[in-house]
Amino acid sequence: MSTHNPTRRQFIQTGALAAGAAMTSGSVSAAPKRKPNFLFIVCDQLGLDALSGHGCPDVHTPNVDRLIRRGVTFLESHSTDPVCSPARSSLFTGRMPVETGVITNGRPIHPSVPNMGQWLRRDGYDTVYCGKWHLPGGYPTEMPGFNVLPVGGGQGDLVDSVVSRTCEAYLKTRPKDNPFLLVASLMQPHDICYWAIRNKFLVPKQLPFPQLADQLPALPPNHTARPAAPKLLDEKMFREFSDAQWRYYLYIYYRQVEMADADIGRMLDALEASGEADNTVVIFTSDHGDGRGRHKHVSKWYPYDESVKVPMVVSCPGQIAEGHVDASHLVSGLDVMSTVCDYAGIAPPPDLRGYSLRPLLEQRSVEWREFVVADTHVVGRMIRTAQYKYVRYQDDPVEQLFDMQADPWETKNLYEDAHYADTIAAHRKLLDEWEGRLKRVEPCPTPQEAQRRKRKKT
Amino acid sequence: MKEPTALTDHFALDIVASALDGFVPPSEAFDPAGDWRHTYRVCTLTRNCDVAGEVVIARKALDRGGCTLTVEYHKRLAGGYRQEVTVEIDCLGDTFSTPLRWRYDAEMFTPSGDAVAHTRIAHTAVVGDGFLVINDSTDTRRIAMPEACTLHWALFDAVQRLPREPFDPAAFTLLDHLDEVKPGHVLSYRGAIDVLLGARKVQRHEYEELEKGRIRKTRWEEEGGEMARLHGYQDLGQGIVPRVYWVDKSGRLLFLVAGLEAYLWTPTEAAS
Repeated sequence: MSTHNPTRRQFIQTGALAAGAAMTSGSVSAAPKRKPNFLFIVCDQLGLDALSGHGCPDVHTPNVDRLIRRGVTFLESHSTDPVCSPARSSLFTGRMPVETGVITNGRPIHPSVPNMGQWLRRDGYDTVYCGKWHLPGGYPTEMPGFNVLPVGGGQGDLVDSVVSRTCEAYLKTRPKDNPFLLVASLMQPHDICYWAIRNKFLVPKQLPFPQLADQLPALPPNHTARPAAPKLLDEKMFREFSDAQWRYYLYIYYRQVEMADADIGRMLDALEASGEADNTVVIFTSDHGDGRGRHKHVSKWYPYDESVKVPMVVSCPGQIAEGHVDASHLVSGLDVMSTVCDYAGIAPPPDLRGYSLRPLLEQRSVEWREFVVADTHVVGRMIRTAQYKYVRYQDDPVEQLFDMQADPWETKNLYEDAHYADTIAAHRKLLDEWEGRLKRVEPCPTPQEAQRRKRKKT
Repeated sequence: MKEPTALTDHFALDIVASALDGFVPPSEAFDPAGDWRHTYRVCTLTRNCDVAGEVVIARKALDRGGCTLTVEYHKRLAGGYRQEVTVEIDCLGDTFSTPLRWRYDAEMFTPSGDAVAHTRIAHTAVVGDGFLVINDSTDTRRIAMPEACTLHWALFDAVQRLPREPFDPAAFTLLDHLDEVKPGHVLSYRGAIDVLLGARKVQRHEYEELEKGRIRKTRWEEEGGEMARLHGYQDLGQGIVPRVYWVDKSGRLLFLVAGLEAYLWTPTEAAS
């Protein structure tokens, strides 16, 4: 576990605390003798509750659901920055975006910060990457620390089946000499982004399929909620579709989630066929969620739950509890790197901000963090504690405080309510202290910025 | 036939209209139940309509009925890499071109043509007795399968032989990308449209005299092209965004548009 994480509150006996926990197997064996493999599956733009296994009635995700049944799923799982590149930089380094230098899309990870591939490769792992990278290029054919299985050419509907098929080929034909880390990075349901961008065409005024009228998902309960918000947050991805257009948008989003699920199923089947499933830790998450009409938002970027909360499911038969729903522990994309290092039995890189999830996965008592933080829009910060979410943006007088237990749909901003002055002050302090601990680096230039700088020099 | 409408007037075709500037529809006779060979540009539809590969589908009718479909898919990957996919499918000659068996082989290649290690995957599959059985070098998968099922590639054949008029929607299970089982699908007739195909966008300049001088106004107009009647079919169901197939008056599949993915018929010699 990282030594840099605050642990102010003790959560003992995790199994007893986890609300809704449904252990189907209490027997968790000791650590395996062989080094475990890792299959790390990352989706793009998949919200935490956009899965049938998490209760969504509008989608069928049998493959992620079987992963949920076989492992531990965390219901308080957060992105470090609900936009692609920054979030991904945290997933692969265990550091906050200001520490990786990836504060916006399309930047490379700072060379001083090792990624998961580089770190595990030093310890004898075959480290293989297939799918979207975006640090900086979408589908590079070379990347530090990984052998790349090349894919690319199109959006999720064209690429993801190539990713899953190629991962299937790798799992079934790889040399068995070394343990492996295979990253399978799917694009879906990110295709919904272009649905929003090209709404003139893709969300037409006249719904193109009248047959779907009785299949369109209902609007979310907070669809029309517009709590006072910092300007950047409020204006970014707000849309004024008709109700039918919103519902059609949701219908399409959930079909795209199902597309990702099918590809996940193919890879899980291949892992089982490879004979390595019992010694492979499968980690499943997403970089960020999607607006899905909540607060009339599309896309991501903002710290509302629909954008910032992501699935985090971890399984390994016989080693990780099965069918356990952890609804209490605050976890983060930061935790993947620590968890992988822990299971691999190697010391983590310095200054990790994440926690190893291993004690929670194996139902052991552990001190756990009191809060998680997400960055937004470069200048925005969100801190989430067990009960509250506090949001502030630099140079913006409007701040936000939500009582996440009383108001889980984030409809009422309590910031102006004097009753919460102490709560706000406490959250500001936590956030200030957190920010003070981070080791910032100069953001690396995007390829375009690097090109411009080069031209200027010459 | 009514006055032709523009492609941009019709959902799904509107998204690919820019890629069909100057598209010349094939005029040769076509028998959907006979032997044929089509080439499609595979496009990804984001801000533009970018070509992501080409697919060639050939049908050989079998004496006993049904057909063998051969699919050669050349996918363009990042950095000049490519994936070559070959599928050979034996199908029934029924509504869905129900697959009986197939053989699949795929591998990736570097820009210089060398195979990329650990990317080759091949399998064979048989459908029958309520099961799909897939065999590869490492395992055998047996998946329960309802009678009404088909492959996404087989639908390229099936829609060409469907009635070009309303019919009872047909329910089936889709085997997407060959082995991804997606239940709850319905194939139905979408309707006929009369559109202008083959028109080119040309700039027209007009000059207007104002007090302070003459100004030039530019507008785009469609020029040329010919009227065509297209028949649409749609596939709605789990695990896909709606797919709309457009065939010409003889049943030839010209366009398939599904979300951000499109297959556009192209003369074989132009594809490469």
